[in-house]
Amino acid sequence: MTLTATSLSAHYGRLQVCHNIDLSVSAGEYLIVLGANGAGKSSLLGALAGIVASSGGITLSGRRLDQASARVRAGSGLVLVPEGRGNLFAPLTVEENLAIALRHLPGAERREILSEVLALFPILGERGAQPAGMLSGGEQQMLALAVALGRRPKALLLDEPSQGLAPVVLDELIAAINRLRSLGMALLIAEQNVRFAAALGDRFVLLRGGEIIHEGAPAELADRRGTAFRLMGTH
Amino acid sequence: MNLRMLRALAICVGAVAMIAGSARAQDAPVKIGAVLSLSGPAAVFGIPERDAIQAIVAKMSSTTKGGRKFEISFYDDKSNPTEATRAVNQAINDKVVAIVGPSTGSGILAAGPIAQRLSTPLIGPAGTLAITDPKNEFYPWIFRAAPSDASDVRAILQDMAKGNAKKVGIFYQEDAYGKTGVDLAREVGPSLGLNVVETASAPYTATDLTAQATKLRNAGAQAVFLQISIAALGSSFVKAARQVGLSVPIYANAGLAQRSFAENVGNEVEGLRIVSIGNLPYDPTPGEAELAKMLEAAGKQPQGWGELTGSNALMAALGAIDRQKGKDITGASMRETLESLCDFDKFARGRVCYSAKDHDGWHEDALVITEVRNKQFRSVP
Amino acid sequence: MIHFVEYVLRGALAGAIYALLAAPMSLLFATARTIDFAVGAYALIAAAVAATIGGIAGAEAGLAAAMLSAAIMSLIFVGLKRLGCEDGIVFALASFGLSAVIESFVLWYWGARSFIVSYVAASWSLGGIRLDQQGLFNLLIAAIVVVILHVVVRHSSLGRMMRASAVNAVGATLAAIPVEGLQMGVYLAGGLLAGLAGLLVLYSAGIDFTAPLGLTLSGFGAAIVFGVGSPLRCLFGGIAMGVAQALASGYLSEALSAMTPFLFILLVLSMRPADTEALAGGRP
Repeated sequence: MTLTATSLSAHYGRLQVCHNIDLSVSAGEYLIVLGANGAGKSSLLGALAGIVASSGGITLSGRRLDQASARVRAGSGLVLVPEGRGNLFAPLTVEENLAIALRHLPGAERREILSEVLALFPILGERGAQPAGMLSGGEQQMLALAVALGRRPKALLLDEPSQGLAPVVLDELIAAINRLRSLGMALLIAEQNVRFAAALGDRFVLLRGGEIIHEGAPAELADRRGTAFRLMGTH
Repeated sequence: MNLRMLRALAICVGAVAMIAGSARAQDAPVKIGAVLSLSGPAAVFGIPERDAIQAIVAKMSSTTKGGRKFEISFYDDKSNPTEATRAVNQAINDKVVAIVGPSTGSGILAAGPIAQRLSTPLIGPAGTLAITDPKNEFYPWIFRAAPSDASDVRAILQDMAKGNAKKVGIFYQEDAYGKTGVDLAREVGPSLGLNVVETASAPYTATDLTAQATKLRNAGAQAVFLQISIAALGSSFVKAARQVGLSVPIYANAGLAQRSFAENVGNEVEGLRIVSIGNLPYDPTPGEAELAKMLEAAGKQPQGWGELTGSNALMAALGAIDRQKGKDITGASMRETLESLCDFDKFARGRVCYSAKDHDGWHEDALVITEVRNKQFRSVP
Repeated sequence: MIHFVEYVLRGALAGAIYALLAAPMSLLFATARTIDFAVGAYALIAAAVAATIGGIAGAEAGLAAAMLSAAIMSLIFVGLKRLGCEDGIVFALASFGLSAVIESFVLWYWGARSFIVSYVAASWSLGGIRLDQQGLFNLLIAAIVVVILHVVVRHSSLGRMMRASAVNAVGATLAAIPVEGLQMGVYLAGGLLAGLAGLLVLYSAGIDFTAPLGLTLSGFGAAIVFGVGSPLRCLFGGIAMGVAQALASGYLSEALSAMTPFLFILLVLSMRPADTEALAGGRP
């Protein structure tokens, strides 16, 4: 298993928002964390990445990370793309955003990854000198992914990548994320857009009230009267 | 013992206490308050004032020349008019018959109404013109213990008029002190044949005065008058003047007559003329030398005119006490005596006479023109 | 006309000091989205220590004292952050407090004396206008410092990390940037630059304990007048402030000249409201 969480809880001060969550994602696997607003998805991802206080175990490729700081976790290959493309620096240009992501690598490797990333998201090559904040929502999400990939993640955590994107852009994004399969990393996507989730995931878990209440395969999500929809209590 | 007996006894005890008290009134020390700026920006003046007063009191063993015991208590006005009012109130509560201070003009003006209401005179060591303006309702209660700003300006401009300059440029700091000096110079100048052709100013914190110096140079000033009390501004202006080629004689008002100015500036201010209240640190008169010796005996280095104005105020109070030999002294009696006090013992130069029309007392003869030579203020004969 | 040119030149030279004070403000804003209002106080303490000790050793000790003061500010900054404070305005207010403390310390330790280093620098004549070497030296120093800072902020990896930390601290942490360490470093660098400005003021004009507020405000004006995000603009801002002050002193009545530089800032700011949004980094 690439990424495992055992009995993981997330806290904001005394308030506990996720309770004893066990999950694991293997290399190359896409796991969707489904849930409505306030179900605890972002808190779970934040706890994994180390920006939300947590208790419980976290390991990445066998290495324990639950006591490590967010910086160390990011450096070890557990990379989060926060909600609202929160890993971007809006006034900095596309090139600068990428340069920050790649700055720890030696020159040759940096160029290699950069060309890899630009091959995955060709639009970013055209927008190089523009401030990230001036890109469209879809382009920003591509850049957010590109920046995350620049860290060569073993496990990538995407928090609501579909947020605020038009349906036509969503299809492009699904295609882009599917192209990442070739990189063989573990991917954990928090989503409330079921159609988007169904198109991407190998597996899903359903989160409500900070607990996993259901697990299943994406095929289940095709049935609007199925268990998943009923449990989410939406749509 | 019944109630009536108790009352009788109380009356007796009270009567005895009163008799004893009045018998002691002649022996009890006369209380004087000193409300001075012991902290805050005006402490540059307030602390030398206090040092001089303490040195004199120690030397006189708290007894006037006429043999009367006195006692002095210090209060801090924190360079702040509100605090000055509070401190004056406190001093009068402590039963003083006269107050030396407050140190600043604004402090004296703020405390004036209280002095009037509680009938206790203030002897203020400040040059601010307004404190002895007869239009003040509390005018009878305020006496000055230093030459006024008008005397200072007149003295230095008289010295300037001895030279060949006719056109004067003025540089002043942007505050009440600076503005007053400019207004006075405009008023006094023409009668001495001096014409103010240009003025320039700067806030305390200005770091570059070359533009101001250029402005005065462009106006063709043949002499420059500085109305400044911030030493850094003074040296900065003189440097700027030399730099922009404004090489005319420079005259400064008493604000710059501070030891720290003389000692921290260099050759560029050599020859600068400054009017000063006496010349305690460098060229003292015999009286000033006596005060300087007392200060040194108390472990203090004479700084400048702060000590002199402080001593002036104290000596006026002591002079008024001695004129009331054998009498009960109150605030009102002090005021009345001060108003006709003339030629009392003091350390500073000049002849001093207060009258109902003149609460200033001190005039140009208390001043001396000095020249900066070799990091010292040397008196000009 | 020659008078006008002279005022402009003299103002430009005076503005060098403001540029040096503005640069640390701009740097800190670029890194932590806050302003250090204690820069004037760092300049004062540097000048006070340098004047007291004297010579090269004095200058070094002065710079060290300024950096020590800035280090205190950086600890206050980190302390407030640990207490959960994230608002830039709180750090700015805290720096005002520190400025008052440093000012009081100088007044308590040295008294109300002025700090003056006396020497007259040689001057050069330029078309009949005599310019002081010290002033030209100040301008040169300011220009060098500002250009170096500009290159660092705009074109170096360190600069990118600084700017990233300012706009998105969480994102910067996720990108493994040592945000707090960077910000503390910028406070320290600010102390060094402000200390340098203090030394130049000491050698050019002299300084006393009342100076910090005026220096800080002039520096702040220079920092914001053409946009706070860039050190290069600080140089132009400082020169513009200096020229505005010199022209006002030369041509306007005294009452007006004191407020002119700040009227000038208001005027410039009101003429380009759109830029402030771009500055905040959002999509307009």
